Amino acid sequence: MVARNPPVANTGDNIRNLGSARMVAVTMENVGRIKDAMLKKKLWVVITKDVASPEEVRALSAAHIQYQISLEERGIMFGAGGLRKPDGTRVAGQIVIRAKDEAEARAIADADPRHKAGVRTYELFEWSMNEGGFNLRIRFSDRSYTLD
Amino acid sequence: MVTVTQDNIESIMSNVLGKKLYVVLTRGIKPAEEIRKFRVAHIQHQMDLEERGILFAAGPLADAVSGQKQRLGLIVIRAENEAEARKIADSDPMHANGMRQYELFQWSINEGGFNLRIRYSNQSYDFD
Repeated sequence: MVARNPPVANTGDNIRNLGSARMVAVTMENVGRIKDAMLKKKLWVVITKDVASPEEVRALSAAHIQYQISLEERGIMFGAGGLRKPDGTRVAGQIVIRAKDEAEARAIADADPRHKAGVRTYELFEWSMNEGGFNLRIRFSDRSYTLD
Repeated sequence: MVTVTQDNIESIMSNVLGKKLYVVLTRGIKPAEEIRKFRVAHIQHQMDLEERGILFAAGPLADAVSGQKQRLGLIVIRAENEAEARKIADSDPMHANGMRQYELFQWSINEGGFNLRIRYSNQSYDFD
């Protein structure tokens, strides 16, 4: 276990400041509090699979990408892209969206041109994002960014 | 917003983020009481992965209709290759102790985004 800072006793007060306290030792006593303090961001996961020939799926590529970009533009799209087996075989698409409830999530997924045309079917899950993080570096001089 | 056509779709897709991540889809295969015993070790492991910059995002998946947990977890990690991804997943106490089994996938994030608002005065943030 690598901890950059020594583990500190976990209290309701310092749990908010894990950014500075960093790694805490999780115990039976504090695990409830630690879980309660997690982000718990509610998102919807759409796992979508081809159910028609590759040609039929490909015929709707432009319409599908247009739709993905429109969801991104409207702030609905959290992250989307292909899922592959480790050997590289494409198995599905994973689309993570923001929606207030199941009906809204389903309406968004149903409006995907590939679902509407019946060349793909999807499964819907609710996802609670609890752990994780990223590094974001923004450069003013050339307006570029790096997301790691 | 651009208009996507058959003519420009290739150039649009060649310019997307294409961020390569690994998805660990994990499923409980032992009784809930047994799994619970490894909860503390599992959370510690998740926080350790987060601290080391390996964990992109993780949490439980629930049935969309009932909201019931499905003994399914979606864990997204950064790894160089399949072997490294497997090593990371195998070291999860839930997997190491046979409480859960996982399937591994590569995921390429092409579309999406987020709003991040940071307040200096109280050192808080909103991530939407």
